[in-house]
Amino acid sequence: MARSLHVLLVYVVTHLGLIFFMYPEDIIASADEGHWVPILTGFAFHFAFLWIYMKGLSRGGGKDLTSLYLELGKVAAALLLLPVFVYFLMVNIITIRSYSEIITIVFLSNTPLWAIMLLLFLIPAWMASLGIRTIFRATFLVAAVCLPLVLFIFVSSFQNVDWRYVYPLLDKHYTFWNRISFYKSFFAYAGSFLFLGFVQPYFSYRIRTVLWTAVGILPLFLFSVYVPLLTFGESTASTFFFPYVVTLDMIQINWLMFERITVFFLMSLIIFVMLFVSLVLWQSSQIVGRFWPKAKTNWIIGGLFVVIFAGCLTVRSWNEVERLFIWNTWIRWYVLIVVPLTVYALGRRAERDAGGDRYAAGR
Amino acid sequence: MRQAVKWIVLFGILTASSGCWDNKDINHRSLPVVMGIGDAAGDYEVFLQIPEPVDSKMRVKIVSEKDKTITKAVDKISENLETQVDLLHLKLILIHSRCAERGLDNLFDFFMRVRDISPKALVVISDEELGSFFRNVQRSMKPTGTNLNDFFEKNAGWNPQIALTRIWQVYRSVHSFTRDVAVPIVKSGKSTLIEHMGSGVIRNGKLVGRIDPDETLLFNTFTGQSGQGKIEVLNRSSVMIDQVRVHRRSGIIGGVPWMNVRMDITVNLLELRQGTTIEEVKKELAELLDRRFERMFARVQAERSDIFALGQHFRNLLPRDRLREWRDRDYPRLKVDFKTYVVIEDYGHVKAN
Repeated sequence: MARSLHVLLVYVVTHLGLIFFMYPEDIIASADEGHWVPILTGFAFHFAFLWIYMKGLSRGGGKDLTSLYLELGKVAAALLLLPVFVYFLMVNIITIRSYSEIITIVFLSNTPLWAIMLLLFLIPAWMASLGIRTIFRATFLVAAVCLPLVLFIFVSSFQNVDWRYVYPLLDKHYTFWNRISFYKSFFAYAGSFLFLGFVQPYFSYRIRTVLWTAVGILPLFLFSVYVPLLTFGESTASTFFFPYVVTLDMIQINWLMFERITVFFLMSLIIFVMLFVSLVLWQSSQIVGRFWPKAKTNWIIGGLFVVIFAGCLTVRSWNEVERLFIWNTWIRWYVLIVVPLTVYALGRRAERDAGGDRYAAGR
Repeated sequence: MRQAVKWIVLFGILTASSGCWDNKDINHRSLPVVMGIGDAAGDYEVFLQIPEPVDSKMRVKIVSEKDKTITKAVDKISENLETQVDLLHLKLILIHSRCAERGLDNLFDFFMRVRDISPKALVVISDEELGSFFRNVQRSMKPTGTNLNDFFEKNAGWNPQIALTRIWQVYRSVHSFTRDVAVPIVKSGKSTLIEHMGSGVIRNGKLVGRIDPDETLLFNTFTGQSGQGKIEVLNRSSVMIDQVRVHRRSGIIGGVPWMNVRMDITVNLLELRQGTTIEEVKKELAELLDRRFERMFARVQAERSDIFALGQHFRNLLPRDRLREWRDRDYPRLKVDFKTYVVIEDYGHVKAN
């Protein structure tokens, strides 16, 4: 059970790191009114495939994602895992690049971007080289320190809320289906949940508790969008790049000695994002390691570090980040849909084989 | 060996991540607290009030520059000063009324966009030319250094008849369909630092009208910021507002929006003219507030500025397309029935008849 807690914390923390920045902007851009519908649609989608994915993994009997795929043979596994691997690389590039941009926008406006990116990546890479247990233990520590702070600031962000901005509740003609930003918003879901397939041999968890945790962070998804909407109204909130961060800047707490509590919130979230980056980096190193067993993990991580960092350096502007996001959409669908479905199919097969083996062993 | 490398790398991270890249020390920075934006024949004239410590006292320096953009003007000031101007601690934005009448949307777009100006800074309009305003203010300022913004801060010298509006609220008024703001108007005073003249009524980031301090008090009461405001009744008695509750009911009948507002106000008696009864005070106060509201509302309605944010109560009744035209289509036809109910909570130490 205690092990399960670690997994849950990683799930919560990595999502928190992703929710509060790009996600509100994408959802606000995807609809003019009744934003809860796209939020819930996205969430239901995530929830369903999360369940399928975990079901498949548990049927596979505690094997990790790569081993499940490898049962199909090396070539097939390589073909199926290649998009996942590419997705991991791109997620790391996008995350590091966009979060360092956020850091420059919000506080370190004088520090050159490459230095921020280097720092934002060096620590996660180091953590990843120390292995999954280190990442999980670090998550526990960070969560214990930062989660209360994040929750406090989250609650105080309701300070300027005017609930009447919730109306109109329903849009008569929903068009979020054909807006690209709705599909971009799935970034917040797709990034992290795959880790559940990589930690299997090291940590165990119960499907039901993970699903409850997912439901538990649904309010964060909702209010990361609704707090800016309720403070400013849709027509104002849609003019911002990071609506939630801007809203945080409005908080006025006289008895607190700090004037800009945004900084604390962002610091915590950036630590969460670092954990996320290290987790994704570790996962991609696991994939490479399985196909190339002779290579040392540290060397793999070093190589990936160089590739990803070079990728980060080639992205010059925010527009290019957005473009990467859009290119990424196709692989994201692969990760969100195809991977859970194939894992489910493979899990069932593995279960059947295992059952057959038991039968053959002469029970 | 590996340990040593690790420590060196860690130490390098520590030094690099301290946020001190290209850092300038505090004594090489100027941190203005007030920014004035005047109108100089179409260009902006930017004033900065910079506090400077001199012999353990604060002296105030005022600098100004003209240019087409604010950034350029600030840059010019920075160029001519021996220190770098840093707008991080800006607390108050003073805008000349001519600028405000022309429209503030560009200006507030800039304030929200730039990273170093806090969106919590207060916005104030000045009727006086800013040059003479700052000269007068500087003259009557105490040598220990008072801050102009203390006049407006809620935890300092703010009074309930002063509207309190921040940058982000004006920005919201520029974009929001159903919400506007009131901004205080000041000029430099004779015996005091500044003199409060009332409030400017903003519509879509444009100054379109004015209300006087008494009306501003009612406005603040209505929006729930009345903290101990005093009201004069029957020209010799006065009361202090203690608690206010506003109930609003809204609807649309035959395409015409209507609204019933009931304001329950609890007051403490302060001054009572001989020969006046409590009942008279209550009745007169209720009537006074009703009259004042109706007069003020008729005016802001004619100016099509929704400073009371009444449109917020129609968000669930009107579709979004209609809300977009709220200020021009439905708001001018809005019928408001305003009714005040007064309860006098106590009479202080002295009995009243």
